[in-house]
Amino acid sequence: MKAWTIAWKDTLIRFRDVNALLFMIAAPLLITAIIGSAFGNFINDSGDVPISGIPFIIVDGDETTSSEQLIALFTDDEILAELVATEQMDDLDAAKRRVMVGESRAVLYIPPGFDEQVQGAEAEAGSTTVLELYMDAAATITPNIIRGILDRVAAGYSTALISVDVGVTQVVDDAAAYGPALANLETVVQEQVSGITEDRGRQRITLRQVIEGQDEEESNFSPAAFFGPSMAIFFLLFTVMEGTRSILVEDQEGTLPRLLSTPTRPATILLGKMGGVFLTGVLQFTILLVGSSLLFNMDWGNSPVGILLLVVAFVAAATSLGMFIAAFARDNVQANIIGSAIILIFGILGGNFTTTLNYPDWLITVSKLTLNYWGIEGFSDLTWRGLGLIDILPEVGALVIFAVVAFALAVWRFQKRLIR
Amino acid sequence: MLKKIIHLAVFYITNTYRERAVFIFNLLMPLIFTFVLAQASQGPASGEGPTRWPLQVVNQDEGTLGNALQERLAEDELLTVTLAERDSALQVLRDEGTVAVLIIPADFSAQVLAGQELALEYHMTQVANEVQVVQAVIDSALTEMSGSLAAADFTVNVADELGRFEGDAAAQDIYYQTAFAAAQERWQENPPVTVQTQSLTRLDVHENAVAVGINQSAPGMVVMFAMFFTIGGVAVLVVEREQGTLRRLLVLPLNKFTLMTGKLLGIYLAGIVQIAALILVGAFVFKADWGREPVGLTILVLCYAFAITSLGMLMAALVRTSAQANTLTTVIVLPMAALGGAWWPLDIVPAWMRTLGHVFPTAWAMDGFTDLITRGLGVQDILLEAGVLLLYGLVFMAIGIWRFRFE
Repeated sequence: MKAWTIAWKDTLIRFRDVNALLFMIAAPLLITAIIGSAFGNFINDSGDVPISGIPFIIVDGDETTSSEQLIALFTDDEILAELVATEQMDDLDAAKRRVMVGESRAVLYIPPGFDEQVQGAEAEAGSTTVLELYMDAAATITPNIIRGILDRVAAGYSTALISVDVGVTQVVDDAAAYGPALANLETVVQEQVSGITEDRGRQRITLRQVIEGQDEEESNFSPAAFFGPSMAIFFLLFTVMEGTRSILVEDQEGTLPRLLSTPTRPATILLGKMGGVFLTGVLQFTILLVGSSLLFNMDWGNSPVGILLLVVAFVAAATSLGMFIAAFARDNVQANIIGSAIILIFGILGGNFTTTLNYPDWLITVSKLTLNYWGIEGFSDLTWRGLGLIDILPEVGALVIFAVVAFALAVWRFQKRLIR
Repeated sequence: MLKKIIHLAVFYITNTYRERAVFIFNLLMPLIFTFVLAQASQGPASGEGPTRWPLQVVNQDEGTLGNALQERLAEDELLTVTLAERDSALQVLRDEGTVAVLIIPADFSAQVLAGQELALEYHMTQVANEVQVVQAVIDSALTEMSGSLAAADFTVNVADELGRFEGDAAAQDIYYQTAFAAAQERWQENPPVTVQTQSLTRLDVHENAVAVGINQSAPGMVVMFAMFFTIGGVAVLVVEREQGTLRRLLVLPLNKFTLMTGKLLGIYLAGIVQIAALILVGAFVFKADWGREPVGLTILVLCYAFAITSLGMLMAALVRTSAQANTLTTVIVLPMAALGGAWWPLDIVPAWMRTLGHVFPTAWAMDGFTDLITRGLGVQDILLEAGVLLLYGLVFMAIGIWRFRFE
């Protein structure tokens, strides 16, 4: 009962502190919102691609109906017009300069002769018209999006032209077999060409990426669903470290010795302190979970029991880690330094800032030494991988082992420190 | 007065760098972050010439199109294609002996010739740059094949309309194969319309080189951790005010201007020392490329350090307690780093977020680093970013000094 009193008192103190609330609740929600907005598919759950308005310049060196039709593809098509913000310029060097300084992601130059080529006037000669795309070297994704679109467009033109070239050539070479029907060649070609033109750009054969070593569910990776729990875990560790350090602060300020002079066993005090940190952690995580669900429609999966179990296991492991550090640190200052260093190192190794999916194998092995890794894996299983309670038992087990070992060592050490 | 200012600054710097914690948090930690993030996004070093990427191909196709695709890939100058069985190919992939594995299923020809769309399995171990290069080559080959199939369909349809086959399926099939082969040849020799790309940079980077991971993570981590260190340093003023130290310092023959200038100069210089150390270690230990313009880099660093020192001053003026300062430091630094492009490049976020990000000095600093490191631009091209950072610095400092209370 006394332990519960201490725990509840400490929890209330923390949740009445505006600064603490800002750090525990507002900061992780804010960062989750930023990350979700950056990668889309989050706040409105529409699945819309977040990238839009890619600055793009077209320099029309051909100035014909065909080049205008190509430009119109980017300006008049509803989807492309939203994806790409197209402007036209007359001077290629000036346009390239704008790309060089980052004002635009790419410039397309349509060379003279484009119209003759796509109308088939030069196709028989076997020539190639080259659309020149100059890309921003500093942008890794958006210029390649434009490149992908242009590749499809160029493929569409080439498909139509090669089809006509090959088809007509083959038929003419075989003219004797057709007889008078050959007179209708032009008409038939015109009819069939319209079918290719409508089909322009359709890719019959595509690739399906399979990341080796990962299950089918990995393809559902969602940055937003990943970073929600990830930021909750990261900020929870700060709360826990600060809470467990409070024992050392109270020792330093004299509050703890006064507590020990009362008819309250040291074990009870210790349990109360740890209980307060644990309770704070569980409440903080719960508020973040509910907050992200209500504010951002974040989907925490279909296993509330699994979520509860994982939260309890992770908070227990984090609390035990905090107690371990506080128990072995010389004083509050040292505990603060060590605790903060461990939080940052565990954070980057365990995958709080970027998914460990892209880590090399040796780094994944190292990250498994952190409780962050197991927490993130567990939440990832429940959220974007869509798995259930049974599937998170290994992660829960790892966290429980971590908690038990750290707790045992912390209690052993603290008892020696408190009873002196 | 100048002597006193310098004394105060030097005292702050020596005192600060005497603390072990400073080395852990402000030097070691950003280097660890930089290294790990680089591992997650690594690629071949920039500046390397084209190379042939290994690709394992599992051709289970019972028809002829699988062979055609395989031969097309084998001829590509960017690939070294090895034929293998599925299990051994995937094992080679797991052993990192190949970039990727392409699996052509048994019914590939049958499905394609029946006009169906299908997706080939493309196995890889991680989404790295070389994987995307190989994928681009395969995509190109598949585009050609799709186009050739369309040409073959067209030819057969025209011939059929003209009454060539009259139910002779064998003749139709020969026609199809002939047209397909002719189209494939045309695609490979001289497709009528192609796209030629060029990355615009002044650096001597080969066309097919991709940016190494460290060049993406290093500037971002410098920007973020410099903010933590510098803003945290100014927060010391809040602690000193809380403890009454500032008030006591004014008893000395020091006016407020001298005192504040000395302390801020110390914090500013300490920040520059940190940034310089991170840049040098990044360059010599991790082989990060910081561009070809040391003068431009220096100007950018000096202006950014001024902007964040001033931001710290503003924060110190607005908060009442050290606890508020500590909390606000994290609450301000992390979102500014994320929105400013220190965590991911801003070209992948919506336009409104890019605009929002440029409300903060971090975005301007990242723009400057990108101009110098990746675009290979010169001093004159980062003057805008430097100027904006200076402006931030002046505004923040003015408000901060005006609002700061010594007691």
